[in-house]
Amino acid sequence: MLLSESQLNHPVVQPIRGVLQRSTTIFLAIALHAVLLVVAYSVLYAFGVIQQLPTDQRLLTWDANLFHNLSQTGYDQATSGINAFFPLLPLVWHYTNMSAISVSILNACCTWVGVGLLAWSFQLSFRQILVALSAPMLFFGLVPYAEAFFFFFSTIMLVGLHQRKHGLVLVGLFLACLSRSAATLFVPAYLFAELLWWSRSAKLASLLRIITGLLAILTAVGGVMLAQYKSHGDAFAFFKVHDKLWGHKIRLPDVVLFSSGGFNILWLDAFALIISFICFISCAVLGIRWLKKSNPAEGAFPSKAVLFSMGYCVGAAFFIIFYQGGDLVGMARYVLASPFFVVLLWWCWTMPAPQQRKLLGIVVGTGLAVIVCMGGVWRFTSFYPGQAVVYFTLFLLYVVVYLAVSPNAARWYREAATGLYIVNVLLMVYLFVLFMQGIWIN
Amino acid sequence: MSNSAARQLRTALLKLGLGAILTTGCQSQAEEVVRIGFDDIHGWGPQDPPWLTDSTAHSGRWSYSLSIADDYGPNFSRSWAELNNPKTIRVGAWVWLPHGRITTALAINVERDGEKIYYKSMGFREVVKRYRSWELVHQTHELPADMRPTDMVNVYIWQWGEHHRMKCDDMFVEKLR
Repeated sequence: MLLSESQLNHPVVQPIRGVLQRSTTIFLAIALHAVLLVVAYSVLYAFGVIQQLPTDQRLLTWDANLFHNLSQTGYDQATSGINAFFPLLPLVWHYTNMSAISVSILNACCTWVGVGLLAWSFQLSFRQILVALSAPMLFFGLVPYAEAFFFFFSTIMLVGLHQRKHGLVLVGLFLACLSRSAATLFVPAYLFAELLWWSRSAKLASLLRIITGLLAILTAVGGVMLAQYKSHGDAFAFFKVHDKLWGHKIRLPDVVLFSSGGFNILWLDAFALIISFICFISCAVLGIRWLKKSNPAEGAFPSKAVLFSMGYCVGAAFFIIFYQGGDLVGMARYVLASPFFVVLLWWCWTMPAPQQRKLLGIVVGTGLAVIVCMGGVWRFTSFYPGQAVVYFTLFLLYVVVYLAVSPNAARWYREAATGLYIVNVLLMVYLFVLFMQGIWIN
Repeated sequence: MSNSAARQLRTALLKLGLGAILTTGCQSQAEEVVRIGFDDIHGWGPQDPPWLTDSTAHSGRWSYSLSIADDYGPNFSRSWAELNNPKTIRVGAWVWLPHGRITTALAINVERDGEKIYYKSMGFREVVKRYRSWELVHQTHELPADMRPTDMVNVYIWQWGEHHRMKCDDMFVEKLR
């Protein structure tokens, strides 16, 4: 039975209509993305551009194989590299006994539902959802890695922070820290977000939020250390593996930043570095504002979810730059394959037009600084100057287009979103294929 | 800040950034000071060395084949004076890789009285994205400011981790300034 116009505008019906419309938009965007991804892969395979279809064996490459081993053997040796991996995905894998393809499908669902939750909570438009779903590094959410679980539970935490639902924050923090070793990045980010919002609620409530949040993180890390201690007797195996096996020691970076993932990932790592630099500047500005004003006005600070995302990106960049000696590998994976990237995009997209123009200047300026740090046009390894100019121009263009996916930013935001989405889907397929060929990406 | 002042600031920043990129190490015409192929090796002894192959080459007929057992591939050393006293050099080679799962690099070090004063390497995995074909790889090096004529510049190919068969040809050094 169809409802009349007056019935549809009834105060009881209207919110339900809004909910239905919103959920339909999100569902359609996710379904369209899934279909287009499969179609793009199938067409490229049919034309012979792609030589392989996903199989269990091809998906069990790099860390995926280590996650699988961990699900079978547990933490069997104190010196083994698998101590660096956190146990949530291996536990699910162990108890469900799924194939690598099934785990990949489960991961894809987690990632896409995560984007759906962000879209719901942050009111993303249809095109913005597609852009968020297609971030190239989210291909890590389509393989048997822990990124998908991390994405999903971090999303729950971010939604909780944004909507001030502390229960969601605690669940998200605990499970995200069981998925990946993110506690060292989460603690400062969480403190930063909570402290800047300290004066908005009663002191006791703020203090309780901070203590319970930190406890959730520490419980997860403590659980992993206990599991490792019970398995092989070394509770600090995780830290030792990072130090001894991978040489992650604090040191100054080389003069020229590079990526051991190669130049087809370096520009994505550099993109993540730009985001982190801008987050660092923003954190400094907001921190000074917080120190100066004891009772800041409403709207002085962005959502706690944005503050947390900024803190996370700054932490990730600090770790990469000062522990890997100038090798940026992992930067794109930490930042662009995370819900924090989506939240920061939302923050940019919702800025008024004059602020967006300023942001454009800051992004281009930071981008040029990052290019100089990578050797500039003349020192870019294995590129002659002309080739480097093309590479860096396309890189800056790609970064800038992300800002345009908002009606506040440009009149051609629809075209920008569509173009960006198509490029991203092709990139995602490309990275997925490289991964299956066993080529080191990140 | 007024709009015009903000615009001027943005323009100045943009010019500064572009200038920085374009002038980082502005250079004159490159002068080739070393080029080594492997075509002259064949026939010098009763037997060709095991690494010499004619299965494929970038130029001529012969190239260097790095075997699965080798940690080190072709290498050469020149004194700084022999390289015409450069401040900046570009070191490169043509390489043929079977796939992207290799851990091999083109490395350079500078030795003074047996002590290493400069070292840098470029992993092929970072820069080669096409396989089973000849690809050019090169890296620019700023040599230490206090180089002496007798300092030895050593260039070599190094394989670590999982070893794979790869080929190499036409290694070169160019003096950039």
